[in-house]
Amino acid sequence: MSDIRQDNPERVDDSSQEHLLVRFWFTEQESAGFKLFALFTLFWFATAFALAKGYGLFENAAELTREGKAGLIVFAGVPMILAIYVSLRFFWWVSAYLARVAGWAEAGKKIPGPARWFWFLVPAIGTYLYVDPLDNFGRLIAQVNLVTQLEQFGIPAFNPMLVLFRLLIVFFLVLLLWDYIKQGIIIAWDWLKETWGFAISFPQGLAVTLQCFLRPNVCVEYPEYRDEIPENFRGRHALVADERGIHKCIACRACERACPDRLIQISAVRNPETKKNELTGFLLDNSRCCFCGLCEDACPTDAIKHTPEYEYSCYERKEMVLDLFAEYIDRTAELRAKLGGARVS
Amino acid sequence: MIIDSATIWEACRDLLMGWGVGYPVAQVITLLLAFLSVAVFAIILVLALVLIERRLIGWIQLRPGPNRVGGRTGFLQTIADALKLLYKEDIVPLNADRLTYFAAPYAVFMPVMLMLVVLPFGAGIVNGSYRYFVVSDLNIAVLFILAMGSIELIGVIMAGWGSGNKYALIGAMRAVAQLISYEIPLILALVSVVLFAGSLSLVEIVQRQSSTWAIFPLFPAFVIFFITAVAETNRCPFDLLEAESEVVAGFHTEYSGMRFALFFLAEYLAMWVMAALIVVFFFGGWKGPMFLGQSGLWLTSFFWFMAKSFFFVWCFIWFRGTFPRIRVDQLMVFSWKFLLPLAIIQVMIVGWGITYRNPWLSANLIPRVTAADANTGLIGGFEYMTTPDALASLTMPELVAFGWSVLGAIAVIVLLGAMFYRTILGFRPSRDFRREIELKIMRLEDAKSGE
Amino acid sequence: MARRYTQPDVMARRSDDLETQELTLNVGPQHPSTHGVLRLVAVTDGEIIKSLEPHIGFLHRGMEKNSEGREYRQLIPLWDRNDYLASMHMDYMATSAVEALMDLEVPRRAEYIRVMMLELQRIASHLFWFASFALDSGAVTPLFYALKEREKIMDMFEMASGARLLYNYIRPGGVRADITPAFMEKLTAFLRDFPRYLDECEQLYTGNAIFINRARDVGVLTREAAINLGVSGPVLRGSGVAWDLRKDEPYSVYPEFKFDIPVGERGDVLDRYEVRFYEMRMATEIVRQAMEGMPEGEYVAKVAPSPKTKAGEVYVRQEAARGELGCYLVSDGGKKPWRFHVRPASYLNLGALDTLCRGYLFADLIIILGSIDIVLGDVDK
Repeated sequence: MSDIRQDNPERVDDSSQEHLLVRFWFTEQESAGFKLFALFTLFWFATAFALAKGYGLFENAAELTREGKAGLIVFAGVPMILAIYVSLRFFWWVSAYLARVAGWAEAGKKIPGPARWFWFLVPAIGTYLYVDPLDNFGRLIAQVNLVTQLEQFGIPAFNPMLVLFRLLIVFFLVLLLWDYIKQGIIIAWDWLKETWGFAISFPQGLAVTLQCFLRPNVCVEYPEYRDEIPENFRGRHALVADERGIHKCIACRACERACPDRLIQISAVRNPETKKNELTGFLLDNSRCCFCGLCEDACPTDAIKHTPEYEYSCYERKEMVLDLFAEYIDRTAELRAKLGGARVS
Repeated sequence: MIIDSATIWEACRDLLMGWGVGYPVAQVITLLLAFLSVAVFAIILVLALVLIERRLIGWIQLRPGPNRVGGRTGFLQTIADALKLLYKEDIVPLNADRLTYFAAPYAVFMPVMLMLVVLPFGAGIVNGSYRYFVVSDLNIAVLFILAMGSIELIGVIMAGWGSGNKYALIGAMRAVAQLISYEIPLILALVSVVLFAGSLSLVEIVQRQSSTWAIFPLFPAFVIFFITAVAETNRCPFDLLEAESEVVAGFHTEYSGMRFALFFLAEYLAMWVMAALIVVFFFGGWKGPMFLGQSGLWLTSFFWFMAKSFFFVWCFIWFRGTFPRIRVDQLMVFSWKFLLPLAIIQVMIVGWGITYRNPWLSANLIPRVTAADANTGLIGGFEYMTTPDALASLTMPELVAFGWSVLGAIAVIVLLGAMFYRTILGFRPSRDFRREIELKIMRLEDAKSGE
Repeated sequence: MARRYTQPDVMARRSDDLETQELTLNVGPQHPSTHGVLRLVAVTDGEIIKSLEPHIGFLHRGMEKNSEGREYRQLIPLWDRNDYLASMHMDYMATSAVEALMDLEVPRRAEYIRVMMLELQRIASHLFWFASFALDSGAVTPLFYALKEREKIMDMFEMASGARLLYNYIRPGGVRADITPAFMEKLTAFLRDFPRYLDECEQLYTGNAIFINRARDVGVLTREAAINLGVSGPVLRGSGVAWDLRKDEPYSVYPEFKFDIPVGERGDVLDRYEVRFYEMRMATEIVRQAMEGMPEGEYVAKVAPSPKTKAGEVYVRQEAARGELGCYLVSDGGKKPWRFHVRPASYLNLGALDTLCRGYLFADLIIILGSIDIVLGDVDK
């Protein structure tokens, strides 16, 4: 047993009261613990009293007169008060430890509850209800015939006062230990919510897949159905012909220079009359084309374009070298013949 | 036992003997017919199941599944796959232990096929008497099924060892660890069902569910059995052995061609057998509204059995499409620390219910039918005491226990109702629900951050 | 609860009875889950990874050397193929490097279009990451759902640029082509449906207990380690460092948009996952703001077909889908670069894999690798 004076330095500094046996000023810690200690002693002795009554130590008290019962309380209460005084007087130092245990060791911590006097009321009321010195409640219960009804119902030896007393004691304990209980509830509730969240995640996931199961599928079943391709899709190349069926290429070789892999091969002859280059051949190696579109960006006359055609697989590599000029001639032969010009370029 | 097992095969044998065939010959013919029917049923079922799974998984994934081979339904897809596997080269590893290697696929496939022998597919009036549609109504059928499951384990070890590949062996060890860990809760769940029905025979278990299906009093057992059935058949979310993203190879790595096909078919057959077992144990087997009357009883009972079992096959496929995979150590923890205590508690509850003659949890009420009525063939002949009569015969403590069980049932129903309500309500992505994965969102609209 | 199994504990437990050996396992170059050709050599003690060594270079194509002989306009389709799943970011990287050495004013409409495309590309890249991540962990359906949404974005890109994966769209001066009203219609429909799709994905996958148990407290990268290793992007933000180049060193017209940056707390796989999901939502927000505030004007500035830059060197960086993507360009004043070096995001993120995996189970390796989100094209160039 260590002296609390060594643990608590301010007590050593508080020199004005050291010579007294009982000091009149307590630290906050001590004061909080003191209240707890006081409550504890009250409760402890009230319980002892109730147990004595429950075990029939006051059996003959039921036949006592009103004054007799009051006298019994005083007679039995005197040792109780004495015990309370002794414990408060000589064991006040326990209060600090109790305060630390109860978590009220922080300075200025109030006793939890609606008001401080409420703490004294609860066990007091409970004790009074159970002891029932004036036999008020016994008579009330007998008038209501409660005990007989309960015995007929099948629950033997039902004592409403005892039950009430026990309930009040439980209530008192809950109030006293509310901090711990609240923490425990928080921990349990968090665990429960987490477990519930986990458990419910399975049906929610299943609900999502069920909804998607019932939706129509989004597959475009190639080759019976095809997706629509926008016009500017970069597919197979082609030389563009205007409305007369004549290509627009001026053989400036801008696309040759633009292509990152130099896949375009243009052959042109210079027409001495118009002093312009005329296209005679246009080869494009589509096997290494990366479809970047730089050729159609570079062309000043929009003569070469990517068409949206993408289905042109072949069996031999040399078929991948496209002769765009020959294709242009084949494609526009009819149109050019119809419009009367056999001119190719 | 209420009634002697009268199966259609015995009716068939009686028919043959009625035509003048001697007993041994009739018996042999009947056995051959039974064997053929089981084999044909298994093969057709597996072929259909593979296709059904691929199409249903496809629909869950918003795509059609196989729809080229055999028209738009793709019903010939599995046959095409089987033919392809038949034509593959038969590779046997050099280090393989030949006998074990060759025997392993059969050791895995045959127990599953044998489980079909005790499944009751229906019941009905055949040739004037009430017969069960089961190849063999063993009175220890549950034990038989569990034993077959354990033999399958040995087949897995044989496959892993016989491959001569240390990664296949590690994979087989993992598979066996998974299967063993999940067998114990499965057995305990079945113990609670057996206690509820009072018999190990599957036919008897189905008949005991006349008044109420076993799923209502034994809901935790159903949950445990469902989860362990998914784990026993190595389906998602417990399919870490077959996962492509796992480094350690599965036990069937070194198998190719038809041997691999046998493993594959064994898995699908096991899936259907597990679904059928769920139906038999918890959902009343072949029972349902008999809409074809007495003469067509066997047809409707067969229909209900197949419909219910395919519903659970759909549940297996649905689970596969939805959930990610569990890691191997989490799998063990889940089985030993969650399912096993739950199964034990369930067995305790059922045992307590039987001790206190709780009609909700025990079906061991005195039946009213005598042996003379047993062969009338009417379904009504198997009814037990109805609940009000049973309640009147209980003593006070039993009544109190019954009251507690009613409260418990109400609590379970309320909980389930809350769960489904929340499910239907949908996911509200609020911070409350996702507290455990909360992020710290920093508003950086004005200030730049440091470091 | 501490998840790491520290090596001293393991060895202390075992030293008295069993003599164990370390096993060197190879997650080979051909593997369905390594997102490309990547070889991981893992030294494991039982199931616990002691060290991990990535062997890279299987996809090295010599792109930096290749870009030394090409004009600037030809560089852009070349570097498209660097990180082929985030091609717009690559375009922007090359373009911003070139523009930094030119006197060029990019029209505001072009900048808005660029930001819109960059953020849409971020969404597409994260969707593909989500698809492969879910597939690695065993869920087969989120793959298809994510790719279905990505198809919508790719359709929009196809409308704008003419290609589905490798766009060659952002170029010096602006963009290749203007966006059409049909594009805006599709974009409006997409923005209307996409947040609901993300909610569905979260309901299906994120809340799932199995996934959370596999991802929480797995692959933890502490803040200091993240900064020291030089990782960037969602990996860095998942570890608690609030660093995003769009906010801290803004480029293009990002200062005009209002958006948040998600920052994780624990630095585990789940945090990186959640960061990417939140980034998808924020990207949707930015695209909506860009769409609503799109100014009129030109979509490209007047620039020569084959641009010429001043002589000099510049380092530009941007917040790509996978992290910080930097480009160091040295030009001698012509049409072709003298030196073009790229600081790839995935390369440095992959370097953190060893630190991330130590002490965790071997079965977690694939999940952790998936959470870093690497593309081997970006790693190997």
